[in-house]
Amino acid sequence: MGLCTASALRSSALLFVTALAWSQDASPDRIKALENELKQQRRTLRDYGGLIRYGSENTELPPPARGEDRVIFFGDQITEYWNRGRDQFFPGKPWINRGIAGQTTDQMLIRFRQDVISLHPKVVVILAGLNDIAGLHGAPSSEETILDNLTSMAELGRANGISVVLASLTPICNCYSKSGARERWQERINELNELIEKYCSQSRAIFLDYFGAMAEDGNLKKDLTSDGIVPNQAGYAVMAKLAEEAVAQALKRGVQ
Amino acid sequence: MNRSLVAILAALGSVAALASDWLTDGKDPQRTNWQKDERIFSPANVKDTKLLWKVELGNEPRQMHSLFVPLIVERVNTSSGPKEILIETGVSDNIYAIEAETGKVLWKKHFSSSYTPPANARGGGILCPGGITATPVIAPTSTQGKYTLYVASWDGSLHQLNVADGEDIAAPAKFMPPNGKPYALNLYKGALYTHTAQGCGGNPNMVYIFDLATGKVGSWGPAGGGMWGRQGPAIGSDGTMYTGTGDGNFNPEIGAFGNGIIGIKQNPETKTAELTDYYGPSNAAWLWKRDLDMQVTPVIFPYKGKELMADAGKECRVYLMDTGSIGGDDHRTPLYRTPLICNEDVNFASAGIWGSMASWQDSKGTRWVLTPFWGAKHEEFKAPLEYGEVEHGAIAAFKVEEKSGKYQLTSAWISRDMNRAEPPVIANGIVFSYGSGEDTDQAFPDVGLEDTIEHRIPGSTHATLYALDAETGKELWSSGDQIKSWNHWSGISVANGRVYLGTFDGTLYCFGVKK
Repeated sequence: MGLCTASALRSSALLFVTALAWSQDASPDRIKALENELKQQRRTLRDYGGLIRYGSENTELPPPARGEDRVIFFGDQITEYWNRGRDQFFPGKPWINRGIAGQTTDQMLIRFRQDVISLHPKVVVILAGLNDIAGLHGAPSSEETILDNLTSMAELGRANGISVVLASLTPICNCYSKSGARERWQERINELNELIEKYCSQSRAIFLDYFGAMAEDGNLKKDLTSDGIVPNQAGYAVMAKLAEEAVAQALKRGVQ
Repeated sequence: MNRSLVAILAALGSVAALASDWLTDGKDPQRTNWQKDERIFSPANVKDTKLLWKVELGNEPRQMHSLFVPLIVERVNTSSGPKEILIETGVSDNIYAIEAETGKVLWKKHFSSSYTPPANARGGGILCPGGITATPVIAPTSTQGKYTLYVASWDGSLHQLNVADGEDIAAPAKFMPPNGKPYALNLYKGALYTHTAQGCGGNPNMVYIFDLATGKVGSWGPAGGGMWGRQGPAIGSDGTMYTGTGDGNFNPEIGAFGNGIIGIKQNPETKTAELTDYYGPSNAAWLWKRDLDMQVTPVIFPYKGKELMADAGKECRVYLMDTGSIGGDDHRTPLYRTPLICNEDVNFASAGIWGSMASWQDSKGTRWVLTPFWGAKHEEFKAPLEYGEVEHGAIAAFKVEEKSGKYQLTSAWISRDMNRAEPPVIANGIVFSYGSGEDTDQAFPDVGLEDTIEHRIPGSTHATLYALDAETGKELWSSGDQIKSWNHWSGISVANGRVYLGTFDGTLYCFGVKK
């Protein structure tokens, strides 16, 4: 455990004690809730990159067979939930889902080697950045910081002979609840998508534009989602078609 | 032979058959930890268990080690008549014979050694304490009431002592290099088996097989990955010994068998040790990467005409195997693998399965497999019977089942929380186990990795012994805070209405019910 992590753990414990002391509701339920929160924070600190999630499973995957066009879909909850409730991810295709809900791009960068490079895919499809914008770990990142992380992943991929597809962030909407925060996110999503598209045009990574196909007046179409953020089956169907086209393009082009 | 003599011999035979001994760590060569001969403890009376005696033996601890699992012989002929004798081993090269009834020390043997470890040899530290590290083993002789104790001392010698008085009955013989770290001895058909780990004394990690008839020693090493199942190897019906291997590369093509399970057999002609089977978990590379050793002594048992084996490791899964081919054709496919029982955080030091397994069969013919584990139960692992939140460790019980030709371990119960649950013992419908109270952390927020006694001893508390209903896991009795110290890498043994546990401070405790 690094000393930074140790320091963060101490800070978490201090916060816990402080929260207890200041809490006007020091009921057993409240204490239990705070204990659970602390436990979750500790878990995040111990495995910030999320290496545990797929670490064991990865070692059980055989190397790609001769001629196999292995593709990794890499990202957050939008990727992880793609085949939720269904058995297979892109049935019949050697395509592998490596999404982890709630992750930000700096976390993904940590696990990029384990969950992408070590699996020897021909193509990686990266869809990431929404949780950075949402400030999921308590501090939002700038669009430039997010792009830095995406750029690092793309460069790592190319350096290891992997064609890179960078996806635009998917749109969101306030169709099921009113949230001022989401309105602010929408502006930043647009800004980040412009940066991603620009980077792709300069780096020869392939730009996969989910946003354009799923948005209406800048919002995620209501019939493509059940919560305003994560696509539903109809939403994933739209994404799947676009992803297949992008992967085909990447396979044809290869790494340049 | 006249009828009276036949009757007397028959009676003696009955006594011998009822004898309740614990002659080897894990109870038997298969390491079942099942005391089949217990007749005094019962689920009905175990609640009346009391501290019968305790004795301070004066064994000097080395690092975290102190006392090992007490061995028990119910009826030893001594110069003052037959006695039930315990053999307790202290890490500082001490053997104690103790009267089971009273706790009185009958004799003590100390193996003095002039051996000086060479410079640069791995030594010291918690992993290499020096001294005796292997629980000895006892065997009956051809003379009724006379038993031989086999001990591996620090200098690598094999000693053979008379259990009655501690006298040598054979000259010490070379068993293995000095200053190594062997684990509990196992004895099967005239050969002693052990294995070593941690590279202590600069020695490679090896299996050693001592042939008692010829004095020849066979050895074999897995080329990476020490073998540190606490109760030493388990031995199957054909004489193959099995053990898990610790951190190391699993690549049989280059002769590397780390993070796996190996089967080793003595060649009957040459007495050499030969690899006969092996298994590597499909995620062995992950286990190696995250220091999740396969460091648990397996248990072997019969089941529907087959001989099965269960083993585990720090990752916190239990594997079920057929000793006919432990990993199947590809050496990577066991009969069954449980989901993760614990160790959600992939902690290499304070979570996972440590020590050894256990197995027993109930009166209805159901075969059970038990495992201890450290740390919190995995959030997704459920048992039909649970007894509150498990944060520090527990015993998990499974039923062995066959469904449509497929074998599986079906979760049955998880015990109450225990502070570092240690290998259980089954005796007449009761599961005895204990939380060692040991501080097992090896990494600390303020200093990072620091696996030293200066950190761990102050954090250790005290052991607590528990009696559970073997079919439900319900707590029937506990020692509460009667045990004042903790222990490391030790264990319990049970016979004749008594359960024994040694602690770090050199005290041997005897809890039991009146006969």
